Amino acid sequence: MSIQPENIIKRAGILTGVLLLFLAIIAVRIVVIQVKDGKKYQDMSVSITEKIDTIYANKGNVYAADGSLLATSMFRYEVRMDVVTVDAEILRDSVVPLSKKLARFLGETPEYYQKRIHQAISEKNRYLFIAKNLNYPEYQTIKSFPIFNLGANKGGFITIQNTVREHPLGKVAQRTIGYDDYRGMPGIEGAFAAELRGKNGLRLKQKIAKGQWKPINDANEIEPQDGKDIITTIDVNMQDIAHNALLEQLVKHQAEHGTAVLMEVKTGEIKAIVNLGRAADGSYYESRNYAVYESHEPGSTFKIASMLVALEDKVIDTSTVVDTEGGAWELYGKHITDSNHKGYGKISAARSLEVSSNVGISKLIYDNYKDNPKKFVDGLKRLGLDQKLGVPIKGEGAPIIPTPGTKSWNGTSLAWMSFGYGVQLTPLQTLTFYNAIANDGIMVRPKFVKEVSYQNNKKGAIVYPTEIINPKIASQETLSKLKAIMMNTVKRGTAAIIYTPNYSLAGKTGTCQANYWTNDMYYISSFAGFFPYENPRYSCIVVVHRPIDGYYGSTVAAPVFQKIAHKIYAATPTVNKVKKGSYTYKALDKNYEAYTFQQTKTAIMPNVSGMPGMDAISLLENMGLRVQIQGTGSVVSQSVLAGSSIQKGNTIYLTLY
Amino acid sequence: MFVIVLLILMIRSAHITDEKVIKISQLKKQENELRAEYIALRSKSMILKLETTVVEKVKEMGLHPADKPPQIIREVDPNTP
Repeated sequence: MSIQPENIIKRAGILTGVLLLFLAIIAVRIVVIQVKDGKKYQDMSVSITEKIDTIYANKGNVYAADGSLLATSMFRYEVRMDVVTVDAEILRDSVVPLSKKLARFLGETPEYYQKRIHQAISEKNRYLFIAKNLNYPEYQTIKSFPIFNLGANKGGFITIQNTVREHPLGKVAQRTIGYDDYRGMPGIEGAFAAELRGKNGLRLKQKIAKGQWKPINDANEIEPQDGKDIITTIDVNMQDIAHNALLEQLVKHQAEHGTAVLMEVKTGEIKAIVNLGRAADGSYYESRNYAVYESHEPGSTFKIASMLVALEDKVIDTSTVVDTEGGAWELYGKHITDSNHKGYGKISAARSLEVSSNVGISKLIYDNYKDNPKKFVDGLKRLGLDQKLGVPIKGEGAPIIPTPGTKSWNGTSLAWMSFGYGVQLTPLQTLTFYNAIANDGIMVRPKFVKEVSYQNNKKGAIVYPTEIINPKIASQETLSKLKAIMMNTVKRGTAAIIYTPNYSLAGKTGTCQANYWTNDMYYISSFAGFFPYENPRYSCIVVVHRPIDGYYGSTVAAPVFQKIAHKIYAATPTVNKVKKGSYTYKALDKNYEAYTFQQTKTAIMPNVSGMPGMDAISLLENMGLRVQIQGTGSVVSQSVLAGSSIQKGNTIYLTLY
Repeated sequence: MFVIVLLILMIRSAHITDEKVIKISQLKKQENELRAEYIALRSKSMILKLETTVVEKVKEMGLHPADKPPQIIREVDPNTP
């Protein structure tokens, strides 16, 4: 068939027409897209390739005074396994060794893991749970197990990273450091939550290859502000000592809970704060911040406050004689009794505190203030004992000091409150009062936080000064008298059990009945005091609730105080100054010369018997010999006789005893 | 010609940025891992350093904390007050 030229032109014309039509449609579409829907598509493109990214601020850390980490944010790892993605053959070979290793590392039996992995294979589980809450080294260990060491795709190893708040030292002052999460905001973490958290920033980013995002502008849209670091006053070593001292007493007396707080006298810095409560299984843990929140009747430790008011009002003196009668005194049909049940006869006011006579102090206060009880209560209020301390930690307990003329006041109130009943204070409030006595009358606010500073930058840190609540709670004369009473309480009074001639402790015991209006009466044993007496450095309070097997403040609480004090005493070096050239020890010098001389005679075995082990070893090793020892103490026999010839590198066996 | 050089430069620098972003994210991941390791190890060392831990460890060796404070003997020159 021949091709007609007209036909070709006709067909070309149709084709051109169709193409032109397409072009026209495309042109119209372009215009429509560009002009009509342009905005919509541009926005869509931006939303796919751009995003506003939150830059999370790093949370600050909580440090102890010496720089130990008390709380920080870190990663915890959760490990899961994908049994589908891995090569079936490799998996089959790895099940047994993997199960064995997992069992050894995580507990459970190898069969347990084998069964779970086989079950996961049959169910095609791509997300089999292995372990969670792993720290980094643990995570690394699991990662090295067979099949997991092949990585994510070949090994089916799935990692989920979580940021958690950790207390690296665990038990240490856990409740005081606290936390800030769904459970609440106790402790320092709660009080300084805003400072620690910082502020998150924002940044505009564009999508690039490999699922990464790159920032569009040089600067962040909103700069993140890292949280600040909190440097607390806690001394890790003191905290450790106090923790274990209190724990030991709580266990010994199977008490319900207890607290111990150590405070630096001059600055009010809290060096240690322990709060231990008994769990259902009988172990103890940092359950609540008893020292801060628990307002309770202080009992005998309050007598010092009563005495202070009476001395300041000059209604009595320490030498005023009071008749403690037979250890019982009836007032409005109620009996005030002494713990020894027979009284102390006629004694001085000072002595009545040393032996902690309830009859003594209540008679002294009642006789002098019964016509004007308001004067006594006002005296207590002047000390600030009716006010909260205003510590940063949330939930401080409110003190109670009853006022005459109110509903809670009756005829017996005055006498009973003089020995600490009907009033309520938290342990920290009592301690602050005792600290003021030790601190020449200057009442300082307990200080938990030394400094709030920027991470890795000392500039711009907020340093917290010592805050004074009351510059002078009493005259110097009164303070000296009270201090002497407290020193004598330890020397010859109720706390004589902790007396030691090595260093001077001062304090007051408290043995208080709680819940006494019900059948479920129990005791609160406490001790508050300071040391050393001459130049007080630390004050301390110990409170133990519901001890059994003994309930006196002296036997339950005071030993904790003594342990803490002893530790500080033993850790504080004493400096002895000797004048140069004022001493010669000829015998010693001669001995030393002989000893060093022997080291030079390396061919002959010296006589080391009788020498302390450490001297013998260093002598022989300096001579180039090897030494093997047995036992401890001084040398009783040597394997090579003195005078024998020896060579460098010989081994000498020594028996020590 | 100059414009083409500029274009090539622009494309190259965009690539460098991308590479850097990827590197930063890798380093960030590494930093976090090292941090986690550091804290885990530091936590361990702090617990080991506690006096009660040390006391427990050396008990078998017959050692216990000193009862008396350490004495520092300081030689002073009699000529300087």
